[in-house]
Amino acid sequence: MRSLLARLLPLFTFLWLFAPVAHAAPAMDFTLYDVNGQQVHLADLKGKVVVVSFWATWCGPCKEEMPHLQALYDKYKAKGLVILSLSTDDVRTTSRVKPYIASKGYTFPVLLDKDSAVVGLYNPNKTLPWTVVIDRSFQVAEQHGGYDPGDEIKLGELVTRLLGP
Amino acid sequence: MTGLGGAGAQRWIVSLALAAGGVARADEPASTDAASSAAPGQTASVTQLPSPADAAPAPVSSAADATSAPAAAPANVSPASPSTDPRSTPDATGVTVAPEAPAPPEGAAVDVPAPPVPPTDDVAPAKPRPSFVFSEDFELRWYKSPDSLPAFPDNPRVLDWFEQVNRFTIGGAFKKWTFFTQLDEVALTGTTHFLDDVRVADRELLAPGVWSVLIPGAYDPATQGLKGWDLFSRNVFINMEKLRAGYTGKNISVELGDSYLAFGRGLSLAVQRNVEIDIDTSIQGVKVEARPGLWDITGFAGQLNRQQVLQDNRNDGLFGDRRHTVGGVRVERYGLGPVNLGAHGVVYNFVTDEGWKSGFTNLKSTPDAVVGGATVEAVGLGPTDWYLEGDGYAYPTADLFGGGAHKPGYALYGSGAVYAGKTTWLIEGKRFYQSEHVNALLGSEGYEVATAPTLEYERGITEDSSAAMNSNNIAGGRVRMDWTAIPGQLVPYWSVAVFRDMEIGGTHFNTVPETIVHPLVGLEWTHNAWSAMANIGYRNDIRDGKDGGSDRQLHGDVLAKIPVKDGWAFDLSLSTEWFRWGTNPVQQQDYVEVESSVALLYKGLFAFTWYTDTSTNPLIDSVGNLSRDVYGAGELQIKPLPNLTLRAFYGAYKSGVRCAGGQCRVLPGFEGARVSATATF
Repeated sequence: MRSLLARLLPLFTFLWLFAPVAHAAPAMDFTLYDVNGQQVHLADLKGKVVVVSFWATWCGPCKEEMPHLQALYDKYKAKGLVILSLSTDDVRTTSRVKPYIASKGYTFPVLLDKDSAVVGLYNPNKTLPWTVVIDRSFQVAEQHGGYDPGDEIKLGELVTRLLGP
Repeated sequence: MTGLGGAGAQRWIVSLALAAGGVARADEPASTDAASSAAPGQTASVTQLPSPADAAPAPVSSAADATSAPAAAPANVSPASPSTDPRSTPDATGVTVAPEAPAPPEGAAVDVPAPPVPPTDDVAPAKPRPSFVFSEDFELRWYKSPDSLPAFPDNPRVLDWFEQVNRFTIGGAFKKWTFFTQLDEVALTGTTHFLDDVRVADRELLAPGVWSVLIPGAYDPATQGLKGWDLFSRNVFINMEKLRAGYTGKNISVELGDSYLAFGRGLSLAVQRNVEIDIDTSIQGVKVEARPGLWDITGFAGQLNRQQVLQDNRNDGLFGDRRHTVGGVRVERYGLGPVNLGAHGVVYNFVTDEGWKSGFTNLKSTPDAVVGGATVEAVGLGPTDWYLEGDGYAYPTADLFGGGAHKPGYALYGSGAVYAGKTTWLIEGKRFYQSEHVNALLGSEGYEVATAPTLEYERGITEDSSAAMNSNNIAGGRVRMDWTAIPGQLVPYWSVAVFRDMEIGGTHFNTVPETIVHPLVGLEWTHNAWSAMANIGYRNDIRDGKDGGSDRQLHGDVLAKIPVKDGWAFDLSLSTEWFRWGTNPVQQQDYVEVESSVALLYKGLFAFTWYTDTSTNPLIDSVGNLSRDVYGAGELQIKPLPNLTLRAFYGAYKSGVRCAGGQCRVLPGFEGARVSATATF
């Protein structure tokens, strides 16, 4: 046991050294369809503050977070905030995504990541909900996993700061 | 904005819940039916990304747990290429940055069209820089073995062992190029001992013939090691599970390596990650997608690449890949008014032997299955959306029928959504005949290549009812109505599913056809930091004839988040199931399952969760740690840094069948301890 760990731990400990390069990376572009069959290109949103929220219809914490995203969207969309609610539901349940959103009365755009393309770019551990905030210069300003009460306040403060006066 | 996140922790929760039976059965229904969300047991604020489905503990079938295999396919990545696609909405994004977004229409539209918003002038053009996303997940597990030596004094317990699993991924993009790789490693220790100077292995990590990408060499039974570069031992396995490079141009994208792909609603092809039950199979080959104007044309060819190292479940006896060949084409035409049309075809050629050689040799043989289909979708047809898909299945060989008579099949699926005032109606129907045979040879590998919508509440699937999910002769549908009582806050709903399963034999317990009736009611409520999701359902599998009786299942799920004060909150979950068997030759013992969790959370920085799971199901082959039928476990999660989650778990959860995303696997139980660190940066 000791010798095995002695060999393996150094091997994987160095991987943690990558951590410092984490932030302020350019946002990775993607193209997806929304629930209405329209194409959405992330790069077309350069100049805006974009919140990409990964969720799924079976994800409880995601459902807890969504009303707060809607409130944020209502408050700041006129100032340039875009919220992309990105459903990670697989194709079997695609038909349920739009009815779910409609039943809740949410109005932010909802995209379908049916080939798991974008979740792999931004959220390789596949944690849900997963929030990515992109600033006006198309840089990733924040990535965050999970939702706990109070998170929406911090998100609101960040968005306010990024939107500017 | 921090949250206990982390895949690992959540995975534990998920797997625990799954295994423990209750919970984490995140299921498609979850989306539709119920308290879906975090499966019971999922206390924290994070959910590991499962494929939609309700994982259901079913006493016997097939399953495993979900690793969080990040194998993401950066598809459609086109760095900074403004869209000229006519499908884009006026603001060129389809995103609809609604100006003054009107109050949510009652149950209807999602996006609100918005005028174009020009980029701000103060954004200076930046010099292109690469982007990277790393994830690292390290976990150490101690397995408490149930084995003992009764012939010795005190009946000492023996054969505990340790397992260490590591997953490292790097993904990135630069200009129009993307890449991704996932490196998995697993090691066992404490699995061997010496009896009379003879080395005895209690368990082997690798099955004979398996080799590691980074440690080439053949298995040597004499030394139980690898000939050649046996750098470590027979109990270490390092594997580059996924590797992908991609290019995305204006109207075309190309990927080499591991990609995911699904056609239509998955009737003909659905090679996707399903972390809920530890499945991550990709297509290793080439994928090309062209988007000329209103057309989308996708072609691919490659071999199926199954994830070999399980992230959440026990690894032993890892066996090699069977390099099944698959190729196909999809053509879609958008923008015909509200209508989109599509056609697709897929060819499968399966192998029975492991290894690359077999995979390539197989290319010369007759395909085992050819599937072709078409889709019609109408979006925004008044206050309605419609979808219809039909697929035909040809089986040129008898391999998928066990060498017996083979006949063609077909599958139909349709859905309609109607937004009427405060109500949202979702109607789905299906008819599958001989279509599940396409997955027939993949059972031992634990995944499927086509997973059509089952329309079932997967959280309630048992070993018996899992057969209906994979039935080759079934028809039925489901109607669900959501009532928006308070927009964004309170939505009660009900659904009724009715199926006619005409297949018998195989994994079916019933010996005559049966009619399945499954009503369900529930609600979802959120208000500020409070939330509650609950449902209750009653499934009745009614056998034909007077003597068949019926299987009856009453089930309920509750999830609740209760804020206390100063950032503290409780997360509660409860999942129950009462099952009465009808007449069947397999087993007759009725059972009850109750799974619960209570979590204390603090601002996403800390969470402690206690799980309890009780099951009297005799088909479960694990034993509880609190009593024979009772399992208990505690888990502590700490998030010291925004991108780092530490977890410690001690206790047990039960084994059983889990179903998610239309697939079922038997997941092993667990007793012992786990510690892990997970980061994404």
